[in-house]
Order: sequence, then structure tokens, then C-alpha cells
Amino acid sequence: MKQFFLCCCLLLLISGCSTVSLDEDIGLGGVTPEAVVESFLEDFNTALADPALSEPTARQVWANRLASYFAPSERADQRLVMREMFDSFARNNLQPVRGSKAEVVITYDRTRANRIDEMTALVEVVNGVMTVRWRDAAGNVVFERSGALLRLIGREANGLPVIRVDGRWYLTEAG
Amino acid sequence: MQPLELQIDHRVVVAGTTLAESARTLVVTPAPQQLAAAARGQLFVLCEPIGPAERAEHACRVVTQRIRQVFYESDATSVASALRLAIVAANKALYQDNMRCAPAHRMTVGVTAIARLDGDLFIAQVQPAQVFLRCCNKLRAIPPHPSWEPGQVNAAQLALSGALGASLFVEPEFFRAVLQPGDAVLLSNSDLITRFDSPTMAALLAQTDVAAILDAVQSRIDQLAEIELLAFTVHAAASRAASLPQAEHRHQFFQRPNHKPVQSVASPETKPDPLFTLPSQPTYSSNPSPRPAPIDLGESLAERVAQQQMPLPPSSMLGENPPSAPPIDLGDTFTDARPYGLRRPLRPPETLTLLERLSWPLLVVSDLIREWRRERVLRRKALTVSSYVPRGRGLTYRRTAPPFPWSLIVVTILVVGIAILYGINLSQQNNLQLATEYLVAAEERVAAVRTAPDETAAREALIIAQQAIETARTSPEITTTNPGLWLRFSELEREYERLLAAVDRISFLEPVLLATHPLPNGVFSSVIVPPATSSVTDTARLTALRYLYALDSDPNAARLYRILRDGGAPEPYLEPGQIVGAAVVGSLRAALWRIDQVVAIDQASNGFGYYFRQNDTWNYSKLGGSEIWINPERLDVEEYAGNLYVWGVQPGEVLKFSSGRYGDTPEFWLNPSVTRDAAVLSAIDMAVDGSIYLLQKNGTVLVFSFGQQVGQITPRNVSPPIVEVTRFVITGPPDAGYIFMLEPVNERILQIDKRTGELIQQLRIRHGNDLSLNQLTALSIDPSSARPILYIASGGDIMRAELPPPPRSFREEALR
Repeated sequence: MKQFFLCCCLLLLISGCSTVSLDEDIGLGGVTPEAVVESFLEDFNTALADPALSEPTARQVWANRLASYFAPSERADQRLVMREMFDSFARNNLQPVRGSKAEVVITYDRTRANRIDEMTALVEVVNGVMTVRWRDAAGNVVFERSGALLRLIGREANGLPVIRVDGRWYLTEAG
Repeated sequence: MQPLELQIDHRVVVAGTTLAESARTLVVTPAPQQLAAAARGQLFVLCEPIGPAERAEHACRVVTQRIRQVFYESDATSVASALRLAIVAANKALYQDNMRCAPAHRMTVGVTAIARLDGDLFIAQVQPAQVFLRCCNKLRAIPPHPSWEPGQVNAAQLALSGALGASLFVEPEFFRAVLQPGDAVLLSNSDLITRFDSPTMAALLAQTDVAAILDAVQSRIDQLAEIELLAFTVHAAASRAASLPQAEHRHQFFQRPNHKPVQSVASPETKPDPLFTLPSQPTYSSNPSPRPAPIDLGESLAERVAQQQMPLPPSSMLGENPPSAPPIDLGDTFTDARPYGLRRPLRPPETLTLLERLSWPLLVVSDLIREWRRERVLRRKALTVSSYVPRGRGLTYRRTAPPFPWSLIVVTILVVGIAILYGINLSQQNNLQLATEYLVAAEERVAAVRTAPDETAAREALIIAQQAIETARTSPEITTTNPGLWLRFSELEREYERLLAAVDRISFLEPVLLATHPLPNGVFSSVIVPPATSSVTDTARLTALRYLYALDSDPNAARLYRILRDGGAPEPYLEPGQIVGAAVVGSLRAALWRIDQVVAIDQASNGFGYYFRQNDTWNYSKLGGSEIWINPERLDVEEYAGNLYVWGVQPGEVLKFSSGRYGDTPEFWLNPSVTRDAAVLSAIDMAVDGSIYLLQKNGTVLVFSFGQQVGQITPRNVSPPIVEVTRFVITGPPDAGYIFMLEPVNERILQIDKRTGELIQQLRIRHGNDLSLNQLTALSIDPSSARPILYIASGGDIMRAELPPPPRSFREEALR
């Protein structure tokens, strides 16, 4: 009888432990190729403007979220890349080259799928511009510099590649 | 102990032929130097084969060889155990030998093995076999035969299935005897005993010459097909040389089996020459032995039955004498005693008395009633639960409850629990699958919006997508506790809102509640936000800049409140009845920001007053000519370049108070030619940015400059169309900026391009938010920050929200 109880308790524990891991393995993706690009850029802007970005936990949360827009096979690598990028940004923002605070904003008019097939697509960010502003303590802009988004991130193709996995679209570096 | 000598002989006759060499007998006498073998003693074996005659010798050889080998070489600690091991090993050897043959050629062997150690005789026997022992003048047959000893009939001893070679399991029977001089032992086949009666055999074994014994036996049973005989007589060692002239044979230990049929244990003498020695004469009669007397059964059964007076019991049929005393009746008896006897024995009616005859029916009825009551009592007893309650153990008679079946209940609960858990799990999986299907369907519909060919089709697709999203939202699985589905659903809503913004130019505010009206049903009618400036150094002015100001909407006792910019409880700043200089504040009707301070307009009995701050105190100035103003439904006062523009107190006219001369009579700003215009008369709000804008309920804005109407702004591409706007706010210079219209009916704020009337976006609050725009009353915009901040009064709430960026188009056709 005692063994029976133990088995039952073990079964209950096993069934109770089958919860989903929240942070790491959930892929957001997008409904359409344009949607995943726009969501990524919006979240990217929000993350860079997040005042809590100086906290390592917040940086990890944002890194996880932004990496979740990438294809499952690339997610782990992108998580590390994003985390390093946020760490570097937070570190440099403490002592910016100019002024007392730097901000990075990505602006664009809209997105457009230039090429789309069953499994892949190339999404153009129309008039995508990345702007870096340095502000003084009063919030006044000291210096501002901007450039084409795709050129700054080093993509020669005219757009961001996305890939379809299980019916949802994800960013990819394989395009 | 006196040393003994044995005279041994054996004889095997098969089909009338005496075999000089036969494996059916074995006599082994160990040499004295073989100490281990000598400790086992002398071995005598006689086999009785059963089966095909051509394999009889072979089977007996297998048995005797194995017995001899195991008997002398085993590690048994006693002679008896060595005998047992030897017979078991012989059985196994024969069984394995049989297994190599066809069933018809398989042999079984009965065996008698005797080990003699000094004067002790150890006998092991497996049927069929026979041994006759004559010890101390007493004859003993092993096994006993019914004809010899009728009381010791044992059918199992006669069974042949236990012979060696029949199965792998054999259990010999053991016997023991003590030898003395004059004793004799005869080993023979099992048929021999039926040919002799006990006295004859006793007389036969009384002889001292073993050959004579064998000759006598052989002569009596020579009609048998097979005869195996082995006999030895026991003599005292000292007398043997004189009394036994027969030859004695010295044998080597482990000689070939049965090589020497007669062996001697101790006599070193040489065998006398038989040519010169007369054979010993038989001492018994050559006449056949008498037949055993038949059993006397006494009188015949018929005679005994005839002699018996009483009926014979059944056992008499088996020959038992009838008992002398009457038998005890052990059957069921029927007595007259209660409760077994008849209550009223039936008697013939003629023997009954008159009284008995009369009372007979009553007695019968009373008996029936009594019987019925008794049965009812018994039935109740039987149905009583307590009758099933067992009593306690031991001597106690106290009733105890049966043991509670905890284990059964626990097992039942566990099984039911596991079943419930399994059902819940199954249901959750089904719900999860259903929710996923809903989500996928909604995603497909949302994705279809981007591929719509035109705005109309896109709007229709949006409506369908919204329905699908609402369906998915109702799923109990799409909650924050299920992060996978919840994040996916959030992303879907995000895309839907993007599409909504792109098609219908709808943006959603993220409002923050700053203050709530202190009165339960209080409503703010306007909110005043000081503009951000860095040039103010005066403390009082700096303090004024730290607050928001809100005007109550109570028409009779409206107050002016101030609220910290970051939110907090509204505190009255100017209220009716307050004494300001020589004036008593009336119900406040309007408030606005003028240059560097908030000013208020009240309505008193003698006209409208103007309250302003000076030296951190309120001051009062009566507005010139206000005593003749009508009681306005809504008084709108705007400031531009220090001048005050008043709308609502003069129908179709804007009154202008020049800066610093508010006590003077105002001038009519509009050209008299337009004041009769129905559009002007129906205007509900006014705004000033250099030009004067008048708002109509349908959203049309009339633009006036220098008293003349110079333009009209009609909102375009508003979906759903405007029903009724109530207020509006103008930002920016006259040639740029936006118009923000408040439409509580549709719970939205419309941002319109001031130059073209094009809809920039319509601002809403998401469903499910605690705040709403259904009582929109006032809007104020602080454009000082990078993204304009909206301060919204809706009912009794004052909230703050960033102005969202204009929505992006997602198609070329949508670009404007």
C-alpha cells in the first residue's frame, strides 16, 4: 500500500511539474512577414528607450523577447547577440561620448514585402532610418546622427529576410 | 564379536539354461588393504529385469556396475546412505539408457542390494524383488507376501512402476538385520515366494550348505522362465574349516562383476577337489511342500441370515457377525418433547371428547396466530443489522463494529482521483487544441487584411478579423497562465491594431489616471495645462506651473481645482462664496491659462467677473458690459496675445476684450455680415490661434480672420463618420498644426490636419481598460515634449497620455 501511495504521489508531482518554461523557448514570430519585422522594430525601439535597461534582468528579458522573433534554430544565438548588444548599449550610455545620455531610434514609413514565396520572404523597411541622439542633462539634443537602417546593420540585400516555420513568420539571418 | 564367515552361491537360469556369467547378480568383497572399501563392507546385489529378454542382461549390467561403483566411491557417511545413493545412481543410469531406446525396448529392474558390515546386514530393495532372511531361527520375507502374512498386505509393495529405470525418481526401502552363525539369506526374484509357504522356506534356509539351498529352490521353480538366486549362509569363523568342505574363493576387490559367483570373506583355504568330495545330501524331503490351508470363513451367509432373529445390519453382508446387543439408532428421531413434538397430536375424531371437539377450531386458530407471530419475530431478527455484527475475539460477548475498510476507500478515492485528473488533463488538452485552432483562424483572417485590394475590402476583412479575435479572446486557455498562447494572441492583437491604424487610422492611447473628482458625481468641464517654460524665475509662478487646473461643471457652484502635474487629489483653488477683494466669487463658468497664470470667469448676479492672481492672491475685475450678457449654456473664453475672446454670451458673435482692458466694453470681433449665418449661430466651440475657429457638431470648422470667414475645414476619411463632436482644440500656428475634436459618442478623439482636414488618426482607449472616453469633456495638449502629451477630462477623471505617432500605411494605395 505504501508503494502505491508513493507511485500516486509521484504521478501527481510529475503531472504538476509539466508547466511551460516562460522565458526561453517561446517564439513570437508574426502573422505576416511585414508583421514580424514591424513588431521587432517596435520592440527594439521600446527596449532602447526602456529606463530599466541599466538592470541586467531587464536586458535579459528584452534580449529574450527580441530573440523570439527569430527562427527557432537561430534563437539561442540571437539571444546571446541581443544580450551583448544591450550590455554594450547600457555600458556606453553611462558615459556617452557626447552629452550625458544617448538614445537610438529606428524610424520608418512602412514595411513592404518585396519578395514572398511559400517559405521565405524579403521585407523592405521603407525609409528605415536609425538615428542616434546625444542629449544633455536637460534633455536637449547635443548631437544627432542618422543613417539608413539596412546599411547600418550591414545588410546588402534590399530588405530583411524572414522565414516561415509552422505557419508563422520569423526573422532569419539566412536570407 | 565372533568373526563370521559366509558361504555364498548364486544361480541364474534363463529359459532353462543356467548362466555361468550373468550380470543379474553381483557379489563384491573388498580386499583388506582397501580401507575405504572395506569400511563399506561386502555387497550383494540381485536384479530382476522386466522387459524384453534380449536386453535383460544389459540392463542388469548397467544397474550392478553403477551400484558397485557408487556404493564404494561415493562420499556417503554411512552404509545405508551409500546404498541409497548407489540405487538412485543406478536408476538414473538405467533411465538414461532407456531413453536412448524405443519404448518397446525399455527395461525396468527390481533390485535387492545388501551390504554386510561385520554382523550387520543393510538391505535396500526396489520392487520387484524378494529376500528371505532366516535370522535367529526366525524367517522373514521382504517384502511380506499376503499368503504368508495376510495382515500385512500392501499393494504398493507389489507395484512394478517403482522399479529402476521407470522414472528419474526412486526411493528404495531399507531394512536391517543382525547376522549370527546359522543364519541364511536368500535373494530371489519376486515370483519365488508364491511357490513356497513359510515353513518350507524356513526349513530350506535352515540348511548350512548354500548350494543345497539353491538346488532345492531351483528344483521347485524350474518351470519359471527366469530364475535369479543369490544366497549365503553364515558360519562361525572357527568352525568353518571343519564344517565346510566346499571351496572358498578369494577374490580381488573390483573384480569383473559376477566373474566369481562364490566369494569368501576370510577363509584362505583352497577349495577341495570336487572329484573326491561327495556333494552334500539334502536334508529335507523331496516331496513337494503342502499347500497352504484355505481360510476358514465359517458358516455360509445364507445360514447366518437364517439363524439371525433380528434384521441384520448392512455390515453383515461383508461377513461381520451381527451384534449381540440391540444397535444404537443414530438416525433422526422424532420425539414428543417440546419444541419438536406436535403441539396437538392428531387423533381420530371418535376418540376426542366433546370439549376437545368444540375447542378444536379455536386451538387451530390460536396455533396459526402464534405461528404467524413467531415467524414475524424471526423475520425481524433476520433483518436486523445488529444480527450481522460480529462479536469480538476472545471471550468477550460485546458486539463490535466490523473493521472500517480504509484500504478499500483509499484505493477507491485514489482511482477516482486519478480518473478525475486524467479527465481534467484531457479536457485541458482539448481546450488547448480548440484555442489553438481559434488562434490560427484569427491569424489567417488578420493576415488576409494586408492582401485586401482596396480600403473597403480591407475594412471588411478587419471586421471579420475582429470577430475572430473576439472569439479567440473568449477561450479560457488564452490567458497569462499559458504564456505560449497568450504571447501569440498579444502579437495577433498588436498586428490587428497596426492594421486598424493603417486602414481606419485608429490609434490607442495608454492613459494614466491623474485625478478623480472629489465629489461622487462630479464632472470636470475643462482642464488647463500650463505651458512648459524655462524662463520663469518667480516663485509664485513656478508654483503655478507645477499644477494642472480643472474646472467643475456644476452650473450653480462650479469650483476651480488644482492638481499636481504628476497626479494627486484635486484641491479647491477658487470656489463660489470665496471673498476676493470686495467681490464674492460666484459660480465659475470658465478658466484658462493667460500668459503665466490661470484666470477664471465667474457668473454673478451683477455680471461676469474676471479673477486673476497677483501677489499670490486672487484679484477681481468685472468684465465690461457683462451685466447684459445672456445666461450662456456654455461660456467659452480663449486667450490670444493677452486678449480675451468670449463665445456664447452673444448669439453668433465673438466678443474681444483687449489685453489689460477687461473692464471696458468688449468689441464685436465678427463682421456683422456673418453673425446671422446659420453655421455661425450653430457653432458649439471656439478656438483661437491668430485666426478664430468655430466648431459645428458635425465636425466642420469655420475659419475666420479679421472678422471674415476665410475657410472651412471638413474632416475627411473618418470611419466611422462623425456623429457629434462637442469640443475641439487647436495646436500649432495658423498654417500648420492639428485640430483635436472630442466625440464622446464614439469614444474617440479625432486628430485632423488643420490645413487639409485629412484625418491623421482617431485616438481611442482599448476595451478592457479601466478608463474610458465615453464622457469626454475637455482636452488640453502640452506640446513641449518630444511627443505631445494629452490631458483628457472624461467625466470625473483626468488622465494623461502620450499622443501616439501617426499610423503607418501598409499599402501603396493607402499612402496619402
